[in-house]
This record gives sequence, structure tokens and C-alpha cells, in this order.
Amino acid sequence: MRTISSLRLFAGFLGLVWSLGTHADVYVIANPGLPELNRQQVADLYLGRLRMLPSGEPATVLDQPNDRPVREQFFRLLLNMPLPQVNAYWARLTFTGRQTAPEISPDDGAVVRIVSSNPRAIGYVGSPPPDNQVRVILRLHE
Amino acid sequence: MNKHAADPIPPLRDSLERKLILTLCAAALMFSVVAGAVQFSHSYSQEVQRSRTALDNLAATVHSSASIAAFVGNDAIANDVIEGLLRNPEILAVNLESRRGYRVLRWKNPSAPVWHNDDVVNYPLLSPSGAHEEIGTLGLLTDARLIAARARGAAFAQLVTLIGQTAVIALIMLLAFRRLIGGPLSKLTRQLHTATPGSSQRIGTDPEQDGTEIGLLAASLNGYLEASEQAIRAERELRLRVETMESHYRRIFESTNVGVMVLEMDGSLINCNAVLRDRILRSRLDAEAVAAPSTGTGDAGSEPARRADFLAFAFRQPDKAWALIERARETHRIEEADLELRQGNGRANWAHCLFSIHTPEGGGASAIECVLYDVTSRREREEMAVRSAERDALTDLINRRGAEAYLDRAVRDARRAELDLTAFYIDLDGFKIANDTYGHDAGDQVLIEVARRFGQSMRRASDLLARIGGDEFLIVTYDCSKHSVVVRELAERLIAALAAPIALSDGRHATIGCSIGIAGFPEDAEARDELLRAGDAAMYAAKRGGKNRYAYAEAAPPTASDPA
Repeated sequence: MRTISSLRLFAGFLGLVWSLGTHADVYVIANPGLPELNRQQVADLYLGRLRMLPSGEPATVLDQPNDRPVREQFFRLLLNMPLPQVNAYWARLTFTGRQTAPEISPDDGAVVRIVSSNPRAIGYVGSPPPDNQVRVILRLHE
Repeated sequence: MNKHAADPIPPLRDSLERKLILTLCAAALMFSVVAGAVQFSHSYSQEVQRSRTALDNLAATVHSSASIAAFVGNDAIANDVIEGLLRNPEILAVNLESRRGYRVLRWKNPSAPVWHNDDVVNYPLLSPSGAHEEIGTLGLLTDARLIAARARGAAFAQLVTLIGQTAVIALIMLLAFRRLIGGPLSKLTRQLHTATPGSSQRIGTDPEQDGTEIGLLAASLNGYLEASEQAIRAERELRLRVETMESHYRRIFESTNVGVMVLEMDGSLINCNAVLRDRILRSRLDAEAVAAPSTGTGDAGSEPARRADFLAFAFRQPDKAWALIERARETHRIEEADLELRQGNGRANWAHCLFSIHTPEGGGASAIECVLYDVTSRREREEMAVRSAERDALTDLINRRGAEAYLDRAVRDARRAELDLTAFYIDLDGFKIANDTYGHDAGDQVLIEVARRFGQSMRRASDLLARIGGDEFLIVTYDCSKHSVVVRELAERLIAALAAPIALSDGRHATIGCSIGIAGFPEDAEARDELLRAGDAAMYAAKRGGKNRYAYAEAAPPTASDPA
């Protein structure tokens, strides 16, 4: 009995160490053609409060699927909002407000690909992006 | 039945029930006014508060949507929220605005847009992102008049409920009082009112009153009724006994052969019995004459019988009666004498009268009590003796003949009445010597003085004192036996009467004594002569015994001076 609970405790400890080691920072990336954006502007874009870029063009905001750990990490670090709250918020806006939620890209690779190809696009990834294709405009530290 | 019990209960000017109703109503009214005022004010503010709380809750409910709308500046959400809020009748207008200049203001009734800042409730809108940042305001213009009216209505409803409850409780209390106290008390009062003290009536109560104050009260009252009945019954029995006793005494008073009368100290009649009235006085005294008020005159001899002069009315010589009364008052004893009555129908009427003064123990007016019995026949005998026999000229006593006649009648009467007679046969000692020494005149003086002294020593005037020889005297007493103390005392008195020397007219003194022979009828003799002989023999026995003493006749023990 005691052996089992001690083993369980040890396994939990190992898991914690692994997760700390694997959770890296979140990088907010934009097309290199986009102007500089501060943290507030990024938050407003992701909550639908800002729909236009400072240049006056409509922005393309990229999100990742709900089951990707980076999504939880992103909204927590940027807005301190848990995912259910983010989902409810957007559900209400899209349902009554004729407003569209950010587009969902399947993974970090897809995000990098779209941002690099769309000059009005903004997105986030869980690993450092290749330097030549996108620009990191905000790094959210774990 | 006393009159009180027959009376109906007088209408109650102020019944307990009425007082209770008035008190209850007054208390309920006062309570309603005070508590109603407090209750109304409390209800009102509570209702206003409730309305405000409802508004707060409403604002909290829409907060999330409203903050999103203000945050994003989304008209659709804003309209949704505002329309929802305006459905509430207490909200007249909604103002949704954000810090960034987004603002929506909508009226429920756009035709009368009046904005009162006093009636506006503002709620801060916080950022939906979770950051504690105020991003705008939700302002609600409330319908103050509606809220006040609703609060008034609610408070009024509460007030009505309160008054209703108070009235119901007062009514219940009143009914309970009637059922538990008023009714039984009123029943008790009715019964007590009709209950006659001393009767066998009792107060009945319902079994449910057992153990209550009313039950106890009824029991106590029954105790009093019981006690009063017993007391009255006892008094009735006592009165009956007293009446019976009184009738006994009255019968004795009325039926005895002795006359009885009671007089005031001034001589007026208080009461007398029928014997006195009818037989002794033989008068036509009627109740009217006796009851006539005293006129207070001093005329003792006047007719008719006035109350104040009853003694004068009754006796031929009222002065003698008064003298007896006076003596009785001084001696505090019964004084007696034979007195001649006034109503005689031509006959002489004599009564032996005993007077005494009665003073009530508790104080109060004294009264003269007089008992009379008829001695007319005896007096007639004496009169006859006086008439038929000549008196002794020297001493004015009855002589031998008169004495013999008296004795004949006395013996006859005594035999018939079975009474005792006692004869004292007296012979003076030393008379002959005195007669020889001082002369015949001196002897006469001695005899007169002896007669006087004997007369003074007599028991009563009705007894006979006679001179039956030269120095021989005879005394006869009626109705007392030879051996009685009265007789012995009389004998000793007679001897003592002569103990003092007799003063003669020439200054000298004669000393004499007497020897007494006592003979009794019927003990010593059956007839007059026999009695005189027995007395004579006893007298000689006394002489032989040494003179100046008395001796009883032969039937008595021979020791002369000590008959007992």
C-alpha cells in the first residue's frame, strides 16, 4: 500500500519536472510586412475589440484548435482568461453579434505558413518560428 | 321571602363584558395605529429596498452581456441587453456606454424622455477579459413613482393584514372571555342574587368550572349559604325554645292562685296577673284603664285606677304599702304585711303582701315586685274574735274568751288545711312579788308594758296575742310547727323582751321574767282545751326547771331549754 502511494507520488513528481521542461514560451508572430503591435493591441485583436490594423486594413487573426496546449497557454499568458471563458465569450459574440471569431489553423506549421503568406495576418505558435518567414512581435514568457 | 330576592337583577350599568370590549377595542386600535405606522414605514422601505435589490440582480444578470457589448462596441448585443432591461416595468430608460466613447441610450417611451439623475442607478461594467478594469457604465433610469406606489400598496396590504389579525385576536379573546369567565360569572351572579340567606338554595356550577376561580368562588359562597342556613335554623330553634319557656312561665304567672304585680318605682302599674286583677282586687280593671297614660297627680284617693296611683287604687291604706316599699328598699329584703284591699264589695278584704325591689343586674330602672295572697278568711277570724270577745280593758289585748274563740276557728281551719298551730302559754315570773311590793298600780303598769313588749316581739300581726289570766298570756302562731326555728326564736325573743327592768311611773324599777310552755297542734293536742292544757303543763315544767325559760309540751323531750 505504502509502496504504491510512494510510487504514485514519484511518478507525479517526474511528470511535473517533464512538463516544466517541455512548456516553452509562446511566440506571437506576424507577417514581416505588418507594422509593430503592442500587447494591448494584440489582446484587442484576439477579443474582437480591434478588427482593423493601424493601417486601416482588416486584420486576419489566427487561432489554434481548442485541444492544442498552446492555445490554453496563449490566452492564459496574454489575457489571464481560462479557455472555457474565452470560448463562451466568442460564442456570445458570434451568436448575437454578427461577428466572426479568429480563423483556426490546425497547428504551428500551418500558422507559420499562413502568416508568412498573408501580409495582414497575425498568429501564435508554441515554438520559436523560423526567422526569415515571420516576425515575432510578442514573446509571452511562461 | 325577602323582597330583595324577589327583585330581578337590575340592569348592569357597566358590565364587565362591555368594559372588556371597550378596553380590547381601544387597545387594538392603539396597537393598530402605532404598530401600523411602524409596520407601514418598515414595509415601505423594505419594498423600496426589495425593488432596488431586484434592480441590482437584474443588472448583475445582464452584466456579462452588457460589458461585452460595451467592450466590443457591439450594437446587437447592446440592443439585446437594453430591450431585455426595458421589459421591466420599473425601468424607464437604459444608458450603456464605454470609456472608449461607445454609447447607447434608449427610452421605453420615447415621447417623454425626461432624465432625472436622482432616479438613475449606475452600475460599473468590468472588462470581460477578467482584468479588473472598468470599461464602462450601465445606467438604469427607474420609475420612482411606480416603485413608491408599489411600496405603498405592499405596505398597505401588510397594514390591512395586521389590523385584520388584531381584530381576529381581539374577537377570539372576547369570545374566550365570554365562554370562560363572562358567562359563568353572570350565571353565578344571577344565582347569588336570587339566593335567599337561610334557605336551602345552593349555587350550582358547570363541572368544567371545578378547580377554577369561579368554581372556588361558588364553593365558598355555598359555604356561606350553608353557614347562614344553619345559623338561622339554630336561631329559629332557640326562639322556639324561648317561646315555649315563656309560655310556661306565663301560664304559671296567669294560673297561680297568688296575685303578682310589678310596679314602677313611682307606683304605676307595669304588669299584673289575672288572679290579682279578677280575684284579689275583684275590680273592673280593664286594659284601657291600666294602659291609660299617667297624669301624674298626687291625689292618692281619686278614681278610677290610674296607672300612677295603683297602690292607692289597690289598697285602702296605701301609706302602709309605701312604708313597706321604703323599708324593702333600705333592707334589700322582702318585707311583708297584711294589707286591706280597697275592692271589697262591702266585705273586708285582706291580702298578705310581700314587697321587694328588683334592680336589673345590668343596671336600668328598678321595679317594685309584689306578691299577694288572700288572707281574708283568716282576717275575718281575727275580726270575729275581736268582735265576739271583749278585749282586756287594761292591755287592749284579746281576753280569754276571745282567745278561745280564735283558737276554735284556728284549730278548725288548721285541721282542714292540714297546718300546724303552736301555742305559747306564758306566765310571768315575779309578778306577784312586784305587785305586793310596789302596789296594784305598779302591777298594772307592768302588765301594760309586758303587753307592749310582747306585741313588738310578735312574728307578724296576724298571729294571736291574748291575755288569758292575771299574769298569763297566750300567743298562737299559724302555719309553723312546734319544733321550727321560728318558734324557738320567738320564745327566746319573748324571754329577752322582759330582761330589761320595767320603769315604773314613780321612778322605781320592777324586774320580772316569764316561763313559757309550748304546745303544738296537732302534735300535742287534738282540740282547743287540750292544747291549752298541754301548754299550761309545759309552762309549769319550765317553772320547775328554774323559771325564766321555755319548755315544750310532754310529747317533746323532757329537757326543757334544749328542745333540739
